[in-house]
Amino acid sequence: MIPTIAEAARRIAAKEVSPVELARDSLSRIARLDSSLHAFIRVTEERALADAKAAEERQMRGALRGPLDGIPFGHKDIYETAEIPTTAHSAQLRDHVPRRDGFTVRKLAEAGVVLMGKLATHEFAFGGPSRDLPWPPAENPWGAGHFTSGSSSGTAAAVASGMVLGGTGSDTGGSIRGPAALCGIAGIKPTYGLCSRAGILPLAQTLDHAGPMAWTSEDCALLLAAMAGHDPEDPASADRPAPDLSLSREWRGRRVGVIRHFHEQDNPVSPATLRGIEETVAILSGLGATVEQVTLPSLHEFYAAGWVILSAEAFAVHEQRMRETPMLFGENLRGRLSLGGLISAADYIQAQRRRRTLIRRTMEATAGFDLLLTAAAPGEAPRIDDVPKWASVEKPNFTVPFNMLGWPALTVCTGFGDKNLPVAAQIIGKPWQDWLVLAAGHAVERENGHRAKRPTLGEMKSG
Amino acid sequence: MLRSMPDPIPPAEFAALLARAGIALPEAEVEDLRRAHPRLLAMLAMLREPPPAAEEEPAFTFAAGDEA
Repeated sequence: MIPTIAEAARRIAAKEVSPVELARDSLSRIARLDSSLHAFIRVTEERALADAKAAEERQMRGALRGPLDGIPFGHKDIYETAEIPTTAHSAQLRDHVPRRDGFTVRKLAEAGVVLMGKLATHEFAFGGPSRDLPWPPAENPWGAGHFTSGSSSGTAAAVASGMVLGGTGSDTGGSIRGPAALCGIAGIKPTYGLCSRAGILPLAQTLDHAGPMAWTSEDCALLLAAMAGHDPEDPASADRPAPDLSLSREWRGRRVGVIRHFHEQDNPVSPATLRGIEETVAILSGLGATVEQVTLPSLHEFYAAGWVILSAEAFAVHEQRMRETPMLFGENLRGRLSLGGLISAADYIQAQRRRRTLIRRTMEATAGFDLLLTAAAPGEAPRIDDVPKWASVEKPNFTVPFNMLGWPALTVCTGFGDKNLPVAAQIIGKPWQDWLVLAAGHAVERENGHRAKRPTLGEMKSG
Repeated sequence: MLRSMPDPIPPAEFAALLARAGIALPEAEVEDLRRAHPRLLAMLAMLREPPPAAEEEPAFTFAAGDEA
């Protein structure tokens, strides 16, 4: 039985379980499963046992630091970790060993998490899935050979399979919410500025967000509380008073807008995904919220501006490597970055101008609404080898609009499709309403019952 | 919607674009990229249609005059 973070925290606090036992369980699961799932770039066994022992000592003397103390955890391998290689899943950084922890890595360590290792990502959070990198792509625990989505692929696979109870992700166009959707877990892209990006390898500075991924929205709320906070080293980091962290909310009087055209016309989703969204509407409505339809600019408009901004900024980040050592990138990332290199300054500025228009139109259309609802992904996970190289420019995704806006957006599992793989919905809030979004996710998960089902991993044991 | 996709630009023109960006790729990847490039062109066209209204312009202010 794999506990949630909240359950494990209660048991640790009650001295019913030791952090060392939890870490050993986690290591044993990693040893059994990761040769098939490839969620880890590096397992930090010694560090994990040392962290767990320290947490156990605090447990024994009644000095636990909070609900994350002693929790098995992993960092996406673009989060810099002192003295532990941080590779971005790329040959470019195979030997990169940071001298210090990133801001959120430090905050989570201070909260007591037990570092189990560094987790797979699409190369530099943009390439992938790729088979020409120093490490294989992570696989979906719900189906061997199936795509996790990306780029926080290893975190999603490790959480879904219970190898860790939580982990970090980053989200520039959907890299937390996409993998959370395909792997049947929860993941939140927080409000832009809530979590520092200092010490996280950048992809696109005006769209990058750091955030947590876990089995439940409640667990994401616990992790986000530890990750959030002002950091002068990130120029986008906000210095704001602590928000209301409660997940118990009154839903009567709340207005939820369903962005039906996103998932019915702009990029039609699978029947199972649609059923999950409708079930979520019924749950929120049953709790007392008023649910209405809302119309935003088309997903295509958001996607065009978002893709251009993301790709141009990403090329700027990697320009020197693209000129000097392009063959150290995998083919997928080399291609995507190359397209970014063909975007002119005028193109980029037009995209930022359009972004401003889209933000204004969205704010007008959603005035008076507390939450929005749409899909997080079009359907169930495809097989890895069926993902087209240029998938990212073929159809708009459901996630990039909220990177453009900077609004908090959460993926919650809403059931399973024809292949028995997870499907999901996306719940979006207004800026700084992250915990309202998480409260909605928590309420939906309690009502829909899908958190009771874990992937059956027996078929993946053989490696 | 992404409207009609433009045709790929001729190989010589595409090679010039890549050279200007300082990008050198294996030949097969150049051709693959050239065939994907119209999807980018379609997105770029969307950004300019309709042209942004004047009121959407960010306010650029320059205060150096105060010191002059």
